Amino acid sequence: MIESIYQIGRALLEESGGGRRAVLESLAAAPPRNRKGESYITILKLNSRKPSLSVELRELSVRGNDAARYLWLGNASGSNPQDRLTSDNLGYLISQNIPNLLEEQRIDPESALYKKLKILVQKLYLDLGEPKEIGVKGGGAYQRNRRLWDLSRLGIKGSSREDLRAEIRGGTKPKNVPQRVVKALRERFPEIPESGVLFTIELDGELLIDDPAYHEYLERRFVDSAFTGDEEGRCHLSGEYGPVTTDMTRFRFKYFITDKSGFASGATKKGFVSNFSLSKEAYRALLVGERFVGRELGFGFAGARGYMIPDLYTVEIPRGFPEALVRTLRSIRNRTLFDIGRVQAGELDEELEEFREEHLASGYMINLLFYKQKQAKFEVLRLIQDIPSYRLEELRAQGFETGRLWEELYGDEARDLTLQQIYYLIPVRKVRKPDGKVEYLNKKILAFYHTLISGGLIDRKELTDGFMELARAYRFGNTGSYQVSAPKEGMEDLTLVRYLAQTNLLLAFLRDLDQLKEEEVSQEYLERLSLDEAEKEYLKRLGYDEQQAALYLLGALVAEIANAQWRLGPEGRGGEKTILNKINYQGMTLPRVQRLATELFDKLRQYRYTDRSGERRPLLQGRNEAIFAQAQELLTRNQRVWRLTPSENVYYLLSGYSHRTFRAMTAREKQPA
Amino acid sequence: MPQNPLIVFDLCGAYGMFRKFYTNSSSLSYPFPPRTTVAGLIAGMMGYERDEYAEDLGLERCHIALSVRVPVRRVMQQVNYLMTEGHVWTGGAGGFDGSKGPIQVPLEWIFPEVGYRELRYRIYVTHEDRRWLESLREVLESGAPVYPPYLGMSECPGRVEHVASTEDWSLGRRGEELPISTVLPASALSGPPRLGAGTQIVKERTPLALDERRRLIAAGDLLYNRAGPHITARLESEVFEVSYQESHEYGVFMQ
Repeated sequence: MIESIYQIGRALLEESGGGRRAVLESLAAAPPRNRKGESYITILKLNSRKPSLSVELRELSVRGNDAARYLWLGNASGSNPQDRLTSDNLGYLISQNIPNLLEEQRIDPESALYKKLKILVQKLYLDLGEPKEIGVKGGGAYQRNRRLWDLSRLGIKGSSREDLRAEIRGGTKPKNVPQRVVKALRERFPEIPESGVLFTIELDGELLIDDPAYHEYLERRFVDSAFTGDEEGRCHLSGEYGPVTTDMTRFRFKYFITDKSGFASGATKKGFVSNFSLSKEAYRALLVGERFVGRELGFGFAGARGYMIPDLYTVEIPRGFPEALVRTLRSIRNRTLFDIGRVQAGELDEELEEFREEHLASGYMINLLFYKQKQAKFEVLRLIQDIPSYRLEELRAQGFETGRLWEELYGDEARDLTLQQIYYLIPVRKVRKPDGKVEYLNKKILAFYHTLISGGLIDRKELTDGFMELARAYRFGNTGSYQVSAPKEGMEDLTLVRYLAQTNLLLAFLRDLDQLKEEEVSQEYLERLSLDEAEKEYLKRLGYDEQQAALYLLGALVAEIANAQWRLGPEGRGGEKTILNKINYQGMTLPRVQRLATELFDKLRQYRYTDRSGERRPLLQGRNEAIFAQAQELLTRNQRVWRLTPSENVYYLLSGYSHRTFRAMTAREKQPA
Repeated sequence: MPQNPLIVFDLCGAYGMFRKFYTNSSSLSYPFPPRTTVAGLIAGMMGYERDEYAEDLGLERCHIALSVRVPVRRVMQQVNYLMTEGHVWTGGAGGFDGSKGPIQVPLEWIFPEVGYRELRYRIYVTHEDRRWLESLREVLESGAPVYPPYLGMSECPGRVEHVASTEDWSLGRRGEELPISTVLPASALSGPPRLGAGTQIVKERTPLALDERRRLIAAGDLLYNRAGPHITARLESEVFEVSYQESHEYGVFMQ
C-alpha cells in the first residue's frame, strides 16, 4: 500500500513540476462542506493605509482541488501553535495565527511578509496584557488568546479591550474570547456562511498565502522539521542514500510505530533506521500522496469509511493533457464505486468511464483500506490488498447474473445483487456511544467482504446463523440495534419474507462463485418427489439436500395456513398469522420440528379455503396433503442422521414460508384489478 | 560472473510470515520471502553468525532468484505481544518481563491456497566462489543445517529440499518474450508484461540487501503473478536459463 501512495505522490509532484508551491498545493486538505455539500472561502480584505475591512465570498468547486489555491492544509494539529493563514476557524485567524507566525523566527524576519505582518499586528491587534494585570493565570490558553483583532480600529462595533478584560475577570474562559470578535464580525458581515467555509486574509490587494516566505515556512514545517537529526542511510522507498528520517508522526496512515523500541531492530531506538527510513523526496511524496488519497479517493461502505488506493503497476499514465493522473485515479474510483454497487449504471460518470476504457485496459490493483477516525487516532479496520481490477467487475457481473434468479424463483422483477446490497443481509450491530454518535460494529462484515473479494470460502452455517439474527430483529421489531431500517407499518411480514428471499439469493451467488463452503449433496431425491415445478426449481437451484428440503416443505405448509389465517381478517384480508407464533426464532431442535409438523397437520385439517365452485374445503387435501406426506417421509428418513443445527432448522423452514408467501404476494400484485 | 554451478532447492512449510518493512505493529507480510530473508536463511543453514554474512551473501557475490511454486493466501490473525516501555532490556520497567501486560496485534500469515498441503518456494543460488557453493550443496544434501530453516519467523518452522546442483545453465540477454518462472524485478522489464486472462501481477517493494549492521543497502520492486506460475515479458536485464530434472526454466536474479 505504501508503494502505491508513494507512487501517486511522486507522479503528482512530477506532473506539477515539483516546485515548492506545487508541493504545498498537493498537500491541500478537503475543505469543509455545509449540509448541501457546498464549500466557500471568505477573503477577509484588509486595507492597511486606511484601516478597513471588507469580505468577499467565493465558492469552492466540489470536484476540483480549489482549496489548494488558498493553501488550505488543515489547522495545526494537537497542541502545536496555530500558524495557518488559511483556516476553517475564524477564531484562530483573528487571534493567535499571525502573532504565532512572528514568533521564534517562523517567518524569516528579513522577509517582506514578516514586516507586513508585524505592521498588521501593531495597527490592528489589541493585547489583553500580562496575566497579572487582569488577575488570571498565565497558562497556555490565555497566552494563545491574549492578542486579537481590535474591531474598533476597523470601524466595526465590537467588544473593547477593557470589555474583554472585564469578561475574563468575570470568569469567561480565555479560549472563548476570540469568539466575541467572531460574533461581531459575523453580525457585521451576515453573508459569511455558518458552515462549510474557509477564511483567508488579503492585505492591500494581495493574498498573504501567496507570499514565498510563507511557502518556505510551510515546507519547513511539513517536511524539513522531520529531518532535524544527523541520521544518514538508504531510503527504503526511493533507494537513495542521504539524510533520512524515521519520524512518521505526521502521516495520517500509521505505517510504523517509532515510539516503542520493542518494535525496532535490536529493540533499541536507533534500530528504527534499520527498519524503515525515508529520504526527503520520499517523505514529501508520501505526504502528497496521502493527502491526495484523503481528498479524492475516499468512500463510505458497509458503515465504515474507506480509501481506495490504486496500484498502477504497469499503467503508463497517459500524459499530454492536463490532470492526466488525477483523471486516471478518479476514473478508477468511479468504476470501483460502480463495481461495489455504491452507484448504479445510470449514475456512472460517462466521461471518466470512457477514459478508463481507453487508458486503463491493461489493469491495475486496488487496495481497499477501511478505517475508523477517533480524533487524531487513525485505526485501520481492515485492509483488502491487491485486488485485481477485474475481480470487482467479476463480482458485479456475477451479482447481475445471479440476480436473474429472483425473477425465476419469485416471479418478481429481476434485481442485481451488489456488494452494497449484501451489506443489508448480514447483521451489523450498532451501538450508541455516550456522546450520542452511533458506531457500527462492522469488523465481521468487513471480514466477510475480505474473504469474498479474495476468493476464499464462506461458511454456510455461519451465514445462516447471521441471517437468523437479522430475521429475529425484523420479526420482533428490534431493527434499531442493527444497520437495517425498520419495516413500514403493515409491511412487517413482507419485509421479513423479502429479506429471507434475498438471503437465498446471496447463498446462490456464493455458490455460483464456488465460494460457499458446504458439502456436496445429491439431489436424486428430487426425482422421487411430487412437487410443482416452481418448488422443484427452487430446491434444485439453491442446492437443498433432503433435510433442508423437508424443512422447506413444512415451511410451505406454514405459508398455506398463514395465508388462510390472513384471509380470516375483515374484508377477507389482514387477519393475524398466529401460526408464525409456533416458530421459535431462536432455533428449533428436530423433535421440536416434528411436534410442529403434527400441529401443522391439525391446522391443515382445521383451516379451509374456498375452491372455484365456492365450496369451503380443508387445506389438507390434494397438493398440500402430498407435500405434508413428503415432508414427513424426508424427516423420518433423516432423523437418525440429522446434522442441521436448531438455528438452521428454522432458517430452512422460513425459506419455505418465504418462497410460497412471496410468490403468492407477487402473483396477487400482478392480478388485474 | 564466472559460470559456477546453480543450486536449486525448495523452502517448504505449513505457514510463513515475511514482514513488510514498513509495518511493525500491525504486520503485513510479503507473499514470498524477500532476498534478505533468503540470504539470512542460507547463512543460518551454513552456520554464519548474525552479523557475519553481509558480504558473502551480498548482491555482488551471491545471486539469488526465487519462484513461488504454491499459490498463497493471506490470513490476518491477532497475536499477543508484550507491551514494552522504556528501555526494553531492563527488567521490571515494562521491558520484556511482561510487567506491562500483553497487547493484541494483528499479524498477517501466509498460508498455502486451499487444496495445497504446504507452502513451497523454489530458490536458485549461485555464487562467485565455487567452494562456497560446494559447502552450501553439502549442507543441503546432508539435510543437517547448522541453524534450522524457518519461513520468516521462528514461529514458522520450515524445511529445505535439495532439488538440483547443475552446471547446465546460462545467463545472458534475450530479445524475445519469455515466460519467467521467478519473481521479477520491475527494473528488469523492457516493456509491460503480457496480461493474459486471469493474470494477477502484484508489485512488492522489498529489501534486497543489508549491511553488517543490518541497515538497508538496496531495495527494489518485485513483480509476481499471484494467479500462475509465470510472468511473460520481454526483458532488458540478463535472464538465466536452466535445465534440471524434467524442467526447463527462465529466471531473473533479485537485484
